[in-house]
Amino acid sequence: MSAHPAAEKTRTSPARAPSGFPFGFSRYRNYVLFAATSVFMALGCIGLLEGLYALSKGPEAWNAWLAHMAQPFDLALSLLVLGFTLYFVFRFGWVGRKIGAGRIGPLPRPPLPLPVLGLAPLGGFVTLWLILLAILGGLL
Amino acid sequence: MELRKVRFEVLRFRPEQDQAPVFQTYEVECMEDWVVLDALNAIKDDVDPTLSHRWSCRMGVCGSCGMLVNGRPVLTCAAFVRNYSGVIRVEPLSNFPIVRDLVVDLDGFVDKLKSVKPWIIRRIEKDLSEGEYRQSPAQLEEFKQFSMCINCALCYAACPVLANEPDFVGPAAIALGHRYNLDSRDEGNAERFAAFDSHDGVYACSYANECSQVCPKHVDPAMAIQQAKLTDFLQWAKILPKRSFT
Amino acid sequence: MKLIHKLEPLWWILFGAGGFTACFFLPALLLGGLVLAPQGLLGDGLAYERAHALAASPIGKTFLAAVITLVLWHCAHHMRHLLLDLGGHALAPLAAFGSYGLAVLGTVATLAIVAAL
Repeated sequence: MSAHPAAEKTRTSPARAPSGFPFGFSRYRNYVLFAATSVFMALGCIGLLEGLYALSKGPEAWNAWLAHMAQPFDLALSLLVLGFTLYFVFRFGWVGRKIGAGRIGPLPRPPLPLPVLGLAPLGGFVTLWLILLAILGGLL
Repeated sequence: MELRKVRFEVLRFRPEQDQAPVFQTYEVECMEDWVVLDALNAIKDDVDPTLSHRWSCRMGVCGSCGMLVNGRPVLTCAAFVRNYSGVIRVEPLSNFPIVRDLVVDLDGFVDKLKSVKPWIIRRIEKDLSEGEYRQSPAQLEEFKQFSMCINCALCYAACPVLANEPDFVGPAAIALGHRYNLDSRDEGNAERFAAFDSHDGVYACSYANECSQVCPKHVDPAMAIQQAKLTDFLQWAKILPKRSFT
Repeated sequence: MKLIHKLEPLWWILFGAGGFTACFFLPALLLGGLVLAPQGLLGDGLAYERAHALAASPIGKTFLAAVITLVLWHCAHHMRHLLLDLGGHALAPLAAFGSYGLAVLGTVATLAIVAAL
């Protein structure tokens, strides 16, 4: 509400988008990269589904799928997907530490400093990865 | 003290004569300890009195002098000329309509701040005879950081979401609402729910974190928004009641 | 679109839950399943008999269905915002319906494939 509602407003020039968005400024580039991880993670899920589908079709289909995924192009794509997924994990964990740092409803603010809140989940993630890899590799 | 001749490219917009914004170049002899605001005032005082810009305290507490300097939202009273090399480009804040030159229309911003009801809301007001509200240092600590906002709107200028969703209630407003939700004296959680819960509320944020990067008072609105999202979800799903939690 | 907006908290919690699920399990699944096993670096860990036994067990099916579904919903929400950021307000309906629509299809496909194991 203006102090003088009857006063005429002059013509304004339209709002301009933030400078350097999306690719012209490093932090905006990182943000778009973070968003792009979703595309690659979805691709990763599709890859896993392909594998599960082959698994359901029997040993020949499974081995054929494994051989197919060993091809250079598919290996490169898989590594790219994995790279984006790891970037996602670090940045997502970084967000999570900000959520965890304050009061949520009746749950009080944790007494831990912010860096610890950031590292602890990461430690948890890596531990789970190792356990899961051990299961897949037949060690557990 | 050494003087340095610095070239400033300043965005001009005079609605009575300009169809669209244009850049105008000024050469200013700057002292070593000058900030960009000093240069703008020198331009207005000595070179071009028609230049319009907002400023007040010139010490980073009033929030008036926010502008884009070389594309980045800063308080011009805190942006030292010596930290820039070459031509310095000064523009009004992004994501806001331009009224004139470096002055932007902040009505929308103020409306958004009001929409989160930034005051202590009590179900029943305490009578004066009952004495003051007591608050421990720990209770103060929970929201103090979010109370440091000087309404400079740099966070709004930096937010990439606002460019496409101009009705997004925005970082400062959410941080402010969250400050009151966290205040042990407040019982107004449910009243702020509507402003937070809409699709232009907290969920429009996609965590670019630019708001926290540019905030001159280290409010960290991105942190407030992410905490507000989780709290809001728990209330929306009726896992937590909408009331004060002390 | 009104319904999409009414359910914003739901899309966000799926994004969050899917994100945490991805953080816990996706890197190991991708590394093991898409890289190490095809390269023969997992020994007999994912040879057909064992792989099928693991995946087709009740725990395995539940785990795989839950993880892949949640991650897909996470990706959908993030892709919706990416489209909004790059394409502007005009893309809002396409971004929402397209992303969540694909997530629905992905969920159905996941459940079907896992059930067939």
